[in-house]
Amino acid sequence: MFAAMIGLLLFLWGMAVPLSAAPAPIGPAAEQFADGARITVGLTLIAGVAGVLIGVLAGLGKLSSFWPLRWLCDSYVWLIRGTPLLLQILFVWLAFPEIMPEGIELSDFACAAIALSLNIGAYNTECVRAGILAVPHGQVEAARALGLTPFQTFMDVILPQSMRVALPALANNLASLVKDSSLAYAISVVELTMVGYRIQAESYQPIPVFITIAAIYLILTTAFTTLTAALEARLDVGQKR
Amino acid sequence: MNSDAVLRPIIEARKVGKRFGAFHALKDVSATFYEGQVTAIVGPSGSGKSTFLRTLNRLETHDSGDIVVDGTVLNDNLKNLDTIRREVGMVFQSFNLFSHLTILRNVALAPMRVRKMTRAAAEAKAMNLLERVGLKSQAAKYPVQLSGGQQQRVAIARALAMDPKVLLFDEPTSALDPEMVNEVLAVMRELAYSGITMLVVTHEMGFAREVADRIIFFDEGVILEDTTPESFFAHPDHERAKAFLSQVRHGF
Ligand SMILES: Nc1ncnc2c1ncn2[C@@H]1O[C@H](COP(=O)(O)OP(=O)(O)O)[C@@H](O)[C@H]1O
Ligand SMILES: [Mg+2]
Repeated sequence: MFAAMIGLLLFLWGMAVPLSAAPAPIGPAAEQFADGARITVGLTLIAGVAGVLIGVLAGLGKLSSFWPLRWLCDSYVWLIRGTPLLLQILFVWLAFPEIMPEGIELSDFACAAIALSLNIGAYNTECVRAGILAVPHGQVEAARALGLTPFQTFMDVILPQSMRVALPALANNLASLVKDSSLAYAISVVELTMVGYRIQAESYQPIPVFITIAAIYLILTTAFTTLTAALEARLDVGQKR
Repeated sequence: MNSDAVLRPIIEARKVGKRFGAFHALKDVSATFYEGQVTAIVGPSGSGKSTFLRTLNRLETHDSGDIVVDGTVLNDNLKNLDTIRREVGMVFQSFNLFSHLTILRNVALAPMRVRKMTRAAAEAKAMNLLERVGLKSQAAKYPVQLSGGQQQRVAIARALAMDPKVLLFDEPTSALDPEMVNEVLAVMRELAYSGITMLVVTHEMGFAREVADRIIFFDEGVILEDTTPESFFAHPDHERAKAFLSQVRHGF
C-alpha cells in the first residue's frame, strides 16, 4: 500500500526528468505534463477523501430514523446521480460565487474539487449504505450490551465492518474519479487533459501528445487501484472464505 | 447459594409488559433476582424467555412495569442505561464476536472504550480472562478461525472483562454441535461457583438441575413456576410444565 503511494509520488515529481529527454513535442513540454498530472492527482485525492466522508455521513443519514434527514440524503443522491457531472462543475463554478458571502472567493481548482467531492460522495453514499446494511445486527447488540455508546459502536464495529463490504465499490468510484477529474478543464483548471489539449494545439501533433496523456492516466489509475487493493487486503481479515 | 446470607436484590422486575404489535410477548412479569443466585429460565420456544432477558439490559424496551438493576431504574435516561449495561453482561446464542477483531481485541475493546483502561492494561486483563476460559493460545486469531465452543468461551471472557455484577445467558449452547456443549457448560459451572449472579435461558436440563439455585418456567409470556430445581423436576405444579418436562426428557 505504502509502496504504491510512494511510487505515485515519485512518479509525479520525477516525471519531468525522463519526459524531458523525449523528442518534441513531448520533451519541451515535460514540466507542463508533470504540473497537469499533479493537478489531476490533487483533485482526485481531495475529492476522494472528501467523497468518502460525505458517503459515510450521507449513507448514515439515509438509514436515519429521522425522516427529514433521510429525505435530505435521498434527494442529494437523486439530484447528483440524475444530472451530468459537467453541469455540476459548471454550477459550482458559476453559482457558488453568487450565493457565497462577500469576501470569500473560490479558486477554479476549489470549485472543481467541491463539485467532484459532491459527485463521488453521492455514488459512495449508496456503497456505504449497502455496507452498513450488511453488518449483522448481532454485532451491534453485542457492542451495546457491553456498554459501548452508539458513537463508539459505529466507529469500532459498524464502520470497519461495513467498509470491508463497501471498499471494492468505493475503489471503483475512485478509479472513475481519476478520469472524471478531466472535466475540470471546462472551468479552466489546467489538469492533465487540458495540458494535452494545449500542447497538441501548439505543436499540431495530437497523436504523440494524447498517447503520452493516456499513458500517464493509465499509470495513475493503476497506482490508485493498487493502493485500494492493498487496503482491501488489510481489511479482509477474519472473513469467511 | 448460601441461604444463611442476607439476600440482596440485584434485579427487580415488577409487572413488566411487552408487546410486539398485537402480540403480547410479556404479561406483567414480576421477579426479583438476588446477588450470587444462579437462575435457570426454561420454557417452550416462543414463550418470552429471550424477550424477558433482553428487557433487563434494554436490548428490548418494555412497555409497562418497572425494572430496577442494582438500584438504578431502567428507563429512557441514557445515563442510567450506561450504568446498567456496565454492570450487566450478556452472552448470546450466536456468540456475536466482533468478526473484524482478534480474540484478544474482542475481549479488550469494552474495557478500553467504556472503562477507559489503557490498551496495555486492557490486553493484560483480556489475557488473564482468556487463560481462565482455556483459550490463551488463541488470542491472536480471528473468530472465524475458532470452533463454536471456543467462540462462546471467548464471548464469556468478553462479557467478564467488564466485571459485571450480573451475567445474562440466552441459550448459550443451543447453536453448538453436541460435542462442544460441555466445554461451554464447564466454564459456566466454574463461573456459577465463583459467586457471580447468573440468569441462564437454557434447554440443558441437566445443567439447570445441577448448577441452578432457582428455576423459572415461562409459558406464553408469564412466569408459571418459580421454584427450586428439586421441586421443579420432581413435581411441577402446572400441566404445561409437566408437558414441557416430558417433552425435553424425550431428548435424553
Ligand atoms: N422483534 C420482534 N418482533 C416481533 N415479534 C417478536 C420479536 N421478538 C420476539 N417476538 C415474538 O415474541 C415471542 C417471544 O419470543 P422470545 O422471547 O424470543 O421467545 P423464547 O426466547 O422463549 O423462545 C415469540 O412469539 C416471537 O415470535
Ligand atoms: Mg429465545
